Amino acid sequence: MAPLLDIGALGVDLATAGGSRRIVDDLSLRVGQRESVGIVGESGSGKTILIRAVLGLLDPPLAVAGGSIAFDGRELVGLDERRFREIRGRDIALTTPEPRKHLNPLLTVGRQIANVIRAHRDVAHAAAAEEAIGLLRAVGIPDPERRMAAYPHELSGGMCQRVIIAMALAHRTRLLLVDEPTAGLDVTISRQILDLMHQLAESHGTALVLVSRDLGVVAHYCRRVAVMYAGRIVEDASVAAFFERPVHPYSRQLLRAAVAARDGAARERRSSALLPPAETGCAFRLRCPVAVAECAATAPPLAPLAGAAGHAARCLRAAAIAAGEIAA
Amino acid sequence: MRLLKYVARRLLVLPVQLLIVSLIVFVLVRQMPGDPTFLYTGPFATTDRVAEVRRQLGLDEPLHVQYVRYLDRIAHGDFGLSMRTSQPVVADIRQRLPGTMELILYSVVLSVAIGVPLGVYTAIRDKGILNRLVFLYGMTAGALPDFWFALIAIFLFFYTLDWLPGPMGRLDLMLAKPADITGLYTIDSLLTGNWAALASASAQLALPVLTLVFIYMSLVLKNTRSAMEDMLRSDFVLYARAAGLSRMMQWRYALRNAMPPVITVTGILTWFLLGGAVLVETVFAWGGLGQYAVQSVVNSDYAALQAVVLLSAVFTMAVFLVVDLAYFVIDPRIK
Repeated sequence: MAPLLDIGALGVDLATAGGSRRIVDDLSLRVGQRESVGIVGESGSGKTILIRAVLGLLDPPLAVAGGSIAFDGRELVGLDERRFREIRGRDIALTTPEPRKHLNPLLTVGRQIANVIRAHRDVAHAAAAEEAIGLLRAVGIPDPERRMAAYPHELSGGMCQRVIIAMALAHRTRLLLVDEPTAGLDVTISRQILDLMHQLAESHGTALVLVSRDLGVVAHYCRRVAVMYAGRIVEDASVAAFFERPVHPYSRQLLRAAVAARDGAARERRSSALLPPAETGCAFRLRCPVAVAECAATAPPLAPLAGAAGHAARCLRAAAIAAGEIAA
Repeated sequence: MRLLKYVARRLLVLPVQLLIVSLIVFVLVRQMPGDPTFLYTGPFATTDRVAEVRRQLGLDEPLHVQYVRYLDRIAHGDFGLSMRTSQPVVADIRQRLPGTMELILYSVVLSVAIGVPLGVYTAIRDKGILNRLVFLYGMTAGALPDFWFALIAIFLFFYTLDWLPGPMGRLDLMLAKPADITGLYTIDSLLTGNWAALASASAQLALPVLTLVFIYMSLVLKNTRSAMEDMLRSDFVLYARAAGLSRMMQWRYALRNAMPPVITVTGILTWFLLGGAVLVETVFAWGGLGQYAVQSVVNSDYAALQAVVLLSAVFTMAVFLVVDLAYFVIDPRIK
C-alpha cells in the first residue's frame, strides 16, 4: 500500500542576515496508513519545524528549500495557501504543547470547536455547536453542554489539551501530528491524554506522528521511531528493533539517558553534550565516542542496515556497531 | 449582572476620588503666584480697600475654612463667579464646554474609524505602497506640532484654495446659533432641521478636526498595528491556521485580542484632547474649554480654575470608566 505521508529529501532553510542556514536537511520519512511513528530528538533538532513544514506553516525566515512532501499521493511542497487551508484540520491535524496558549483566550471553547467544524463544512452555527458537544464528550470532558460556554482560562491544562484534541478530530483526520503531548502536563494527566489520543486515532483509523523528547512515550504508543539530530534523521527503525539494538551512537546516548532518568540514577554528564553539531562531515562527530577521522570528511547518508529490514542509520560505523565490533 | 455590579462598585468610589481631587486643586490653586484681590480693586487701591475686598471674597479666612465653605457651595451647585467674566462659572462652562466636546467627539471618532482599519491593514500586509505611505505618515505626524499644522491647513484650504471658511469660531458670524439642546452645533442643528447652521458648523469643524485627526490618529494607528502584529504571531492564531480556519477568521481572532491596547490609547487620546487641543482651539478662535482654562490661570481666576479642573477630573474618570467597561466586556478573564 502506498504510504500516507511520504517525505523525501526535505530541506528547510532559515534566512539570516549572513545568508541562509539549512536547519532541516535531507530528511526522508514515510508514514503508512494507520501507522504510528514517533520522532524523538533533543530540542533544536528540528522536530517541530518538520511538523510545521508538513502543514505548510513555515513563514519567513523559514522556508522549504527542496525535497518533497507527498500526502496520499499529492505533493504538498509549493501548494498555495488556499489549497493548504483545505487540507489543514481536515486531512492533517495538529495538537500542540501548552494547549492553553494555542486557544483563543477571548472565545468560548465551544465556539472555537464550532469554528473549526465550520472551517471545512458548510453547517449552521447551531448544528456545529451540537457537534462540538459531541466532540467534547468524545474526548472525555464531563458535562460538555456546560463546558461549551467555558473560556480557556477557566479550564485546566489537561482539559485544554482535550479541547485541542476535539478540534484535531473534528474532521475524520487521516493524519494526526502530535507535538510534545506531555509538555506542561503532570504525569498522570499526560498518560490519560496519550491514551485518549491513541484510542481515538485507532478507532478513526488515523495515522499518528508523535513528536516527543520522551522515549518511553514513543516506545509505548508507536510502532516505528525516527531519531532526529541537527535537522536530520539519524536512525529509523521499528520500535522493537530500536529499543533492542539501537545503532547510531546518538540513539544509544539518548536511550541510556532515558534509562538512567527512569531508574533515578545519577545522570551521566558529558561536557561534550554541550557541543554544537559539527558543520562539516557527520554532525554528531564532536559528541561521538567512536568517531574516526573519516567522520570529519564525509557526511554519511541514511543507509539501510544489512540484514535488518526497515532499519536505517546515518553513521559510517553503523555496520560495525550493529555487529557488536565496537561499543558505542 | 456581573457588569452592573462592576459599574456600581466603580461609581461608589467616584465621590471619594472627586473629594480628593477638589482638595488638591483647592490648595494648589492658592499656591499660585498672583492675588485675585487686585483684579477687583485695580492697582491703585488703598490698603484699607484691599483688606475690605479680601474680606468680602473670604480670602482672609484660614485655608481650611475657605475649603469647607467652597465644598458647601459646590454641593449646592454654586461654583462661584468668574472674576474675569463676572459671570457664574457654571454659565461660562456651559458656553464653552460643548465646543470642545464637539471637537473631541469628531476627532476621536474619526481617528478610530480611520486609524484602526489602517493599522489592521498595515499589520496584515507588510509590503505595498499604502504601507509605505502609512509609515511615512506615522513618522511625520509624530513630529509635527498641531498648531503649526493648523496654520498650514488654514493657509491651504482657506487662504489659497478657499474651500473652507476661515478660523472664525464655531459658526458663521451671520448665522444664529441653533437651538440649545446638547450644545453641540452639528447635532442641535440636525435635530432641529436647521440646515444652514448644520452646513456652517460642519464647515467650521472641518479644519480643526482635520488637524487633530491628522496629528493624533497616528497614536491609534500605531497601537493598532503593533498590537495586531503581536496577535498575528501568537500561538492561538498559528493554531487557528493549523486547524484550517480561513484568513478572515484568523484576522478576527487576532483583532479581538488586539483591541484592549487600542481601547486604552483611544481613552488616553480622548482625555488628552480635553486640554491638549488648546493651541488648536486658539488658532481657530474656537472659544472652547481649553482656552478658558488658560485664561483662568493667567488671571488667577480661582473659581473658574477650580471648576475647570474638577470638570476635567470628572471627565477623566468617566473616560477611564468607559475604557475599563470596554475591557470588561471584551475580556472574560477580568473579574
